[in-house]
Amino acid sequence: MTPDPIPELYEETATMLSKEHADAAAEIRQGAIALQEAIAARGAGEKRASLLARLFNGSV
Amino acid sequence: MSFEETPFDAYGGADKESVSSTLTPESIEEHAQTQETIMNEREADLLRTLDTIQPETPDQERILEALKERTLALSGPRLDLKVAAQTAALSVALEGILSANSIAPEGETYTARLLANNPELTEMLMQRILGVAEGAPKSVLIDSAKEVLAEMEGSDSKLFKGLALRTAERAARALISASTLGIGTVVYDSAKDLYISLRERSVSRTKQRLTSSTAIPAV
Repeated sequence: MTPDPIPELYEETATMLSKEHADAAAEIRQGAIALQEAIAARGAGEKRASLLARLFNGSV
Repeated sequence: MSFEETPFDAYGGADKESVSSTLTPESIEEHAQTQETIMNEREADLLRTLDTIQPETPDQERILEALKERTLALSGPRLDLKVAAQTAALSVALEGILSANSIAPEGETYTARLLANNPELTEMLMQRILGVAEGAPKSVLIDSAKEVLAEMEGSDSKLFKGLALRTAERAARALISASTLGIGTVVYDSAKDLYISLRERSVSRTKQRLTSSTAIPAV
């Protein structure tokens, strides 16, 4: 058989696939954090609006 | 680059101790198994995180679903890595079998097991055998390759991601015969083509991901 460079090709390909997996996962994680922050910010906004409403209604 | 200098640490902290400095089919498979475990854990961790998020608006629900879909799509590079490892292990195994000048039954069994898990490569190898053996006085070999391809087509093996052991054993015998008959480059050529195909798939997935990534940050 031809001298086998396949292990080297494997390493290069495996590195590429590992990087793809890690990069894609990192993007998903960033998206999840952004979503969590958006939900929290919305909640904080509602609390703030509620507090303002109570202030203006004179209940605080 | 050697396995000692493996770059996988940058992408998930692969265990260096699990990779032998001597490349054997077993060390390649072990290396791939470590990577698969890391990837599986990464995917499971993401799904757990996503399960804790409670969207409050339709837009947030849509984004959460998109994130879950992307997490499931991580199986693409994970499964391709498995195919890449099986191909490398097969190549190294066949080289060892042929350089030993005698084909032990366990060599054929090992080859059959690798082929059974890799229909994509098996199909490519059998077609390559047909291509190079056509016209030559090797009709038994051609018949074997044709029979394997016919069995694969009949069983929809690519759909089920595995071959029947009988088919794999027949493919292993054809492959070893091909190699002993001087068609040794068939494995190298097929493996090389497969790696090119795996890399193209990876580039394509990455492009697609980067193109559609604008949908996720719009929270």
